[in-house]
Amino acid sequence: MLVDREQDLGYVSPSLHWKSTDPRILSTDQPTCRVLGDTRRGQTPGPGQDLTDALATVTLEDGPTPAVNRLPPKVLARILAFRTFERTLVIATHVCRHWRSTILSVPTLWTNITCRDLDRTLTYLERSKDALIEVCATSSSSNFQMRDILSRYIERTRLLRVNLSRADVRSAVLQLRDPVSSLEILELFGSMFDAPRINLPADFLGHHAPSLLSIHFSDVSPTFTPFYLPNLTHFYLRGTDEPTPMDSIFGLFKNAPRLREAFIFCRSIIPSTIPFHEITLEFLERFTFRIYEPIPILRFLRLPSIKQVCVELQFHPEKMNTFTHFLPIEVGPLLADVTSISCTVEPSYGCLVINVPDLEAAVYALSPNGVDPAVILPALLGDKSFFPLSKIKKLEFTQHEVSNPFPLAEFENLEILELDDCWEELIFSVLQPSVDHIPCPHLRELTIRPSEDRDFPLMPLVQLAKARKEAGCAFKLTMDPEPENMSEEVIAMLEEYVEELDFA
Amino acid sequence: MVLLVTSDNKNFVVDREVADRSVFVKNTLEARGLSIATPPMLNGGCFELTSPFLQVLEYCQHHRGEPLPTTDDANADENRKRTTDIGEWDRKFITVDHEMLFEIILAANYLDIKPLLDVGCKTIGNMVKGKSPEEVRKLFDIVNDFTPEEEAQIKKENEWAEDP
Repeated sequence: MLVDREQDLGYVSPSLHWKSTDPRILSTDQPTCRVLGDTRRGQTPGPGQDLTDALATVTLEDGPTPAVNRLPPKVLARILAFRTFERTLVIATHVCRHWRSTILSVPTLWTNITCRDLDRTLTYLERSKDALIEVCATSSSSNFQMRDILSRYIERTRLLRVNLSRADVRSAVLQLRDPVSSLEILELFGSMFDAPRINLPADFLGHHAPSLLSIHFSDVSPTFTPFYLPNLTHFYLRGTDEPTPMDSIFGLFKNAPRLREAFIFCRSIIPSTIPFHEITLEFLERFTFRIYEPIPILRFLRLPSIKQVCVELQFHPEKMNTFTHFLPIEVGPLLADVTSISCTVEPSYGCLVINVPDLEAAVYALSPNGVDPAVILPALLGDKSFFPLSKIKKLEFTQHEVSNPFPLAEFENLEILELDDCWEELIFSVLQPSVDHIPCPHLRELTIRPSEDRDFPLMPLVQLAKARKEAGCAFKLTMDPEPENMSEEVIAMLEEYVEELDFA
Repeated sequence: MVLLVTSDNKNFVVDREVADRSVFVKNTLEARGLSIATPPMLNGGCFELTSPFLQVLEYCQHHRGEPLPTTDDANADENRKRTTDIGEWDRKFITVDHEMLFEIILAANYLDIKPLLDVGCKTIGNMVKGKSPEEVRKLFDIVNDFTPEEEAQIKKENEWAEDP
């Protein structure tokens, strides 16, 4: 059995020695190098001492030890470094002297400090020695703890996660004035029932936090004046019913040049009072912006690295009637290189969703008055120089309850069209060539995923295939699945008119 | 192909992609400027190599082609610590007796195969989780070498840990 496994795994008989042709390499019939295992890496064999001797010495020194204690200390520490074994960590210090000394000698095991009670917090603080700590203050943390920890240990705090729903905890945070030079992650939470409006001290988010990588505000309405945050890469803000001052957000954008991802959800805003000019966020890749009121934020931003934009105008019953525009934003330069898009109509939201896989950009537009999305698209896109549909080569289209034909004719260079559960008759009529015009003349692949709850319009499809073949622009047709009302006769006709017919 | 020679002088010819699952082997090959089809000189040292090495090779072959973990990504390391889930294949693979489990961990540590080391560490962590110190000692044949006074002192200093 073992021999079989060895052979499966590439075992070569020792009698078949490999002969090196490279003088730097020992052949396998020569002694192999002598390297001790990791447990004794520090003890290299001395002159004249070979591996066997060294191992014998190690065995004699160690005496009989439990197998588990042959694991190097760093492996034992690695076992207990997993977060879910946090309670096990304390238990492990009670097992034996070896375990206790090993565990207490690794400060990084004690850096995850959840302020539940004072004894526990102080034990962790002491055992973490000078290592950077992660402080999590819950709503049950006492004010004394927070003041003490934040004032005494803030300098070696790497992560600060604070629930601000208690006024005393909030006050402790707002009193921060000391440098937070090691702080990398700041997470402040309110609650739905007590969403505090806080004015963060300028020093706190200012030049005293040069290491800050990520800011996360949830259910708080913060006002802050950020200084230069050279390393900030992530910014998350879920605001409250209190208006969010755009000055703070613009200020942050302006002072965080390395921002890679931003998520902003504001129910309402206080318009900016500062005359911002164009802000370049060189590295921003993902930008999600949910708002109740349309604001022209994107027109201030230059985003050369953007990969995903999601702007969603939220439905707000009280403000519904104030909508006069679908989405007055200018996203043009972002989408200039788009070559493939997909569209989905989501009736439940009355939304038209345009996904752009190549750039992964997405623009959401709300249709509060039930306006047909097919009408919204051109309105949304507005100036075609912003979003040149003629550049699109692949379009995936998912549509429900749309009564007007989609403006397919605008896609002059379309090569691949995928229709998922659409009202195909409308699409087919748009693609039908006329005497003097062939819509989408470069179309070479049409994939259809028919709806299962209605008969597929076979004859319009046959007519389309025939007309396009006669116009010299036949296409390959894939249907997935084959429509239930498909017949041999129709298949024969389609095979005559399309370049290739495939049923998945 | 790469020839791997174990401490008990057994030779294994494996694909470079399989051998490279071990950072130790990979670095050895690269540092010495060895070309494919030349052997690294590998010696396990403190453990009986062939038996765990077969296990390690099996693991490396199964996971060949998967992206290797980066060593310099702090976020990846942080995410790694947050989960102790073990994949189904890995769970079956690591279901071995204690002795072999420790040998595999030692081999993974020595050969620097972090994903395998993590599988072993999580397995031991899961065995220890929820157990009392006495149960842990019994599990691993560990002798309680604390004096009664020391034990009382340790228990007192960690009284807060008794609360759930």
